[in-house]
Amino acid sequence: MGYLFIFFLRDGIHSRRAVWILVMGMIPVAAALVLLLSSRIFENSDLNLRLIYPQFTYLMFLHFLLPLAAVFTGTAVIGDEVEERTLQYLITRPVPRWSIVAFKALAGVVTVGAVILVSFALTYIIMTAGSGQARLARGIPSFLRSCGAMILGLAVYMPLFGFIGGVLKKPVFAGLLFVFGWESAVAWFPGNARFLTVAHYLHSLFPETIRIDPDSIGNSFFGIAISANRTPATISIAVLLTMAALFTALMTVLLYRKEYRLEQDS
Amino acid sequence: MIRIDNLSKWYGQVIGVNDLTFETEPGVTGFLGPNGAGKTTLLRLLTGQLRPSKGSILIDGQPVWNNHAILRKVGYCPELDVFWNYLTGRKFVTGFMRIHGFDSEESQGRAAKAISLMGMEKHQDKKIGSYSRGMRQRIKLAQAIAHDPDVLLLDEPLNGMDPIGRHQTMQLIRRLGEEGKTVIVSSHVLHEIEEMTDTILLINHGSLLAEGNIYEIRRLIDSHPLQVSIMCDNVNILTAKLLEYDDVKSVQFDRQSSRLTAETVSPDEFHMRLPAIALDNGIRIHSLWSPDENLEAVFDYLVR
Repeated sequence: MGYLFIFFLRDGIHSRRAVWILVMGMIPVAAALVLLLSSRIFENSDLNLRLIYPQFTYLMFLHFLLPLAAVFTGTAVIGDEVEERTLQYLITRPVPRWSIVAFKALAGVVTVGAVILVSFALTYIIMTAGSGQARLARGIPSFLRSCGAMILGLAVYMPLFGFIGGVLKKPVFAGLLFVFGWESAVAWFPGNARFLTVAHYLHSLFPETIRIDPDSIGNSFFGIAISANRTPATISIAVLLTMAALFTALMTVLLYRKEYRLEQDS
Repeated sequence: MIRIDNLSKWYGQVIGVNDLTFETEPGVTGFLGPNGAGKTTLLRLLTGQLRPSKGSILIDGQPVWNNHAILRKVGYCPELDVFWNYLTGRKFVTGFMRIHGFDSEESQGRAAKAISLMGMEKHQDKKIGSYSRGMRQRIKLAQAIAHDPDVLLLDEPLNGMDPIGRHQTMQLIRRLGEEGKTVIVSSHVLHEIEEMTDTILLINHGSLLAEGNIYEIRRLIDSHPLQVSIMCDNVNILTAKLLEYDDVKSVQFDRQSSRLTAETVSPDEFHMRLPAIALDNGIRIHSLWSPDENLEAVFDYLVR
């Protein structure tokens, strides 16, 4: 059964989607390079990479790369096998159906996670390189915590979009609406609605959001909201793990209960 | 080995399979019916891909739906021509053996044996995406037989194969039946089924029309004219020659597309005679097929 993981890992690497995710993963790196070059060329500018690093990574990774890559990969967990009609090979094997979706989602977490972490590491190096080796080393615990938060985020988003991909006909559109609509907007709402988002718990875990200095970004809504609306780390981790388990269960139940018609069925 | 009781499958208002009851024993059983008859739906029900709306399916006494353990005994060759095209033939078959739970060495051994049985050794290290339709069909069959299942469910396995491939595959299927495997083969071509088995189930519109010995069904079918389409060099001469025989009831021809369609009440004699006519008159035959509509007509006749 464990071979399914290797099978899906290879499948993920060979997919065209992998190329897109790799390209997307390089966007924050390219943006960081542009900022670095700008700060070097315009020496008198107020551009301080160390100060904007938290906001930059927060927006680029938590609100762009992580959810976007998860939408494209997650919706394909069941969706791709149905669309490409290869599901019939998989569900006629003597393996439990949960293992098909669970291992495919896990392979997605590993491949997307690898791209995100490499991108995050390169961004970190580019944006803190000028601050000296000591500062670079001091930031490593915080860097690792961010990596953990993003992997946890992937573990929630992947089965969530996997479930959406198994239910809806246009799952990517629905997924994008979810991450750039619900997740991006509601996480900032006052009141309790934010507790219904994944992003809120990720914000709470992401050390870069915690380190944002309100003075450096003025009294913006953004800065105030980040500083004011955090849930304790242990609770955030517990909620995210529960969500990951719940969405994985939903995705699995779906494959057990739902029949997938092929065009040849009559 | 396989027992089906009052099996029905609906898709909303559409009936896929309608109240089927039958049993199959070891040996080859042919599912014969025109396209859209419900053969594929039946095979997908048999492999647990679809849940019966009513009735039951038992393989070796066990239900199939949501019972992955029973699939260890089942080999399935789907009709659809879909693959992970970046895989080589060998990796495709070996991969499925690994998913079946065999270790790496055994998976490779089983894959090699199945690939060899299907005559694909030369092409096993090429990507499936570069295969011809016939080669893809062979590799699909290899993955179905590699784990040595007791039950083989083959959905139109001869589609797209060249004559030699067809012949070899039909021989293999017959041999597997003789070895005690329960093999179900679906096809819409009578003479293909005829070469593999005497036992057939006639299916149309999801219902079982007839069950049993092929000769009885053949007699029914033979009483109905068979259409044979031919593409050849000299349509006029062949048309004239064919019309000399009493069993040929009509010939329609189109000179521009070099194609004719003859209607015969004696298909066996027609097919035996055709090569001699072609040779004697220097006619080169490019292709020959029997349109599926003919089988549909026979089924309509049986339903009436």
